[in-house]
Amino acid sequence: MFSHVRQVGAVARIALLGLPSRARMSLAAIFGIALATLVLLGFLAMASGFRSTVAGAGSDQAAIILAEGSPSEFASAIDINRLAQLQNAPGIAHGPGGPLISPENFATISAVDDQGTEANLSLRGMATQGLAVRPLARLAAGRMFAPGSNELVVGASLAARYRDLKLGRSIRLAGMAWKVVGIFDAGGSAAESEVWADRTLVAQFFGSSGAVQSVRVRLANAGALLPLQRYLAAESASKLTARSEKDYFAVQARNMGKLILFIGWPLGIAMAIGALAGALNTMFTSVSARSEEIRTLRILGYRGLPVFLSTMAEAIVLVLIGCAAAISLSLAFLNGRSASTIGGNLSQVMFRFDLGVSDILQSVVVALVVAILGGALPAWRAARRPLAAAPGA
Amino acid sequence: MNMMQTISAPTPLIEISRLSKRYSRGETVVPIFDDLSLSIPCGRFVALMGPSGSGKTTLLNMLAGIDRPSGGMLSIDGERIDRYGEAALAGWRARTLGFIFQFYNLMPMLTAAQNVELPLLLQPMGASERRRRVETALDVVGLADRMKHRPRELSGGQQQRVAIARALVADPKLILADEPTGDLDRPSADRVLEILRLLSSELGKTIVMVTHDPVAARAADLTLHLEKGRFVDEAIAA
Ligand SMILES: Nc1ncnc2c1ncn2[C@@H]1O[C@H](COP(=O)(O)OP(=O)(O)O)[C@@H](O)[C@H]1O
Ligand SMILES: [Mg+2]
Repeated sequence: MFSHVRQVGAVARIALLGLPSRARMSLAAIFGIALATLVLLGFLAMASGFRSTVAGAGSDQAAIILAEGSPSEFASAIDINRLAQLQNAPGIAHGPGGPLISPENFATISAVDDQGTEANLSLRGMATQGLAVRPLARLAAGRMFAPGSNELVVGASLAARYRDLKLGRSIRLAGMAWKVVGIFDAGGSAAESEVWADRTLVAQFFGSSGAVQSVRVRLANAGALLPLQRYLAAESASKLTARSEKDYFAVQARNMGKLILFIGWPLGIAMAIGALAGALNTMFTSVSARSEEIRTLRILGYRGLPVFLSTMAEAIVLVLIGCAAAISLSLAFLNGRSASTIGGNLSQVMFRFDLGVSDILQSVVVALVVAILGGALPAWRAARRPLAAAPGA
Repeated sequence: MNMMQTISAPTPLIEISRLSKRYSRGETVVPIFDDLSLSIPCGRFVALMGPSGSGKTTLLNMLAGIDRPSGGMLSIDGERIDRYGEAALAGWRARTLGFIFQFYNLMPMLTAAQNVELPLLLQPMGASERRRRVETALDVVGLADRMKHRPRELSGGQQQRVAIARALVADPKLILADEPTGDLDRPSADRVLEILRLLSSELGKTIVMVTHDPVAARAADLTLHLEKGRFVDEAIAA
């Protein structure tokens, strides 16, 4: 038993000590797996980052009212005549100016970022109550826009990246200049990737004046959602539904995370298959480079199993080097870096790559699968090759 | 006709009877031996000569359990190795056999001492015992001062002596050598032959050495000539 372990150790040591002499092929395998791991980690980090950015955007002290059956604000339309009736709905908190209700709609605007690239951003038209209905948002600088004026309040993460959206600057939209008068902060969540303006102006200059897309309300307390939902359900006209902000964003986050992984995994697997082809090639080359060495050891009395395991060990070491390189690179250059995406429902959203332990473990598992699949066949070949060399070989 | 060629001695280490070997290359079957019988007693140093392609390596490989006979009986030290499977053969080689190659077959990344230690890792043996044995074996071949050298820092003759140390370190009964001096100059070859001679006379090893070199063959106790799958010796009775 002991001698078995020693055999494996001795053969693996010889295989690994010989690695430098097979450097070029070994590096090719390492590079292949590193690339695949990097892509996979990128997507996993994106999905995690996206999930936490979007999931953190909601509070249970606020609710979003949508037309029934609409999956998101973007697909919803509420007739403007319904708004008056909402003023009397139960469960809604009251401020100095009456119930905290903000009818809202969206437009898409384009702005130039600090690098000079143009991107589409979400312009949200809202009531001046819009800030007060959002428990997680606060003014970081400046003030709220004045009712009826062409002023903007910009999310902090956008203000940080877009030169025309910094406090005090102006941007031309729909043929006129809009001034940035305030910066809001929403804890780095997806809600920060928006520009706010007065809804009546947004409706006037960007169309859609007959309807709003959603109504955001501040709840009197966390238990106030149910009475509000009951009240809306009792309405006979085309129905409205209310969901807590928290719930709404959690669903959006889940869907978006799924979408990213839906693209990321197949791409990662495809790259892993490419890496597997590379690993197989490397290991077959290695085994044939080592064939005389393996033959010698077996003639000395070494068994097939240690030869098999040593080849597997070599494959695993190569793959783990590549995987470790990819993990270090992603931790150093990707993790925590912010990026933006133009995602179906959420327009452009800033998020951070967020590389979690489980993401890293998943990539290691994929890499190990590549090592085992890429090592097994060559290892088996090496362990079973007939010892009697044909003449001239 | 059964030509039983007996080398007079009571306890044979190697016993071959009616051994046959054929290779099949696609459709054609190439017979190497048909009916080979031989008995080599313990402690004898035998040289195996013959023209190229006469089957010397094939015979040696079968004695080493590297290649399988197509028929007949092959017994070494009382073990019917022709009936053994791969794993049993590997175990048997580790216990019984030392093998010397024409091109030394050392592991280039290991030192002389580490190379010599390889067969000992197959034995249940502690590290200090292994070190002692490695030192002794390298001492026997006159390379005690080259323990830490890697193969490329040694001459061909020295490398072959390291290989001999590796072949004897586990104290096997049988040492097989396939043209061990084939790649060496005369002085190095003589040194190697001198050591093999010593292993036979002082340590009682049974040695079968394939060689092309009549001078090398003279180091052996007797020479077998293989031609067209048969021994052609009268000298075999020596
Ligand atoms: N693995 C093999 N497959 C087919 N033919 C072989 C194989 N090994 C040896 N032979 C043939 O067997 C004959 C004897 O070869 P070998 O034993 O190497 O001769 P020697 O060592 O005496 O020069 C040669 O004709 C050779 O071509
Ligand atoms: Mg030969």
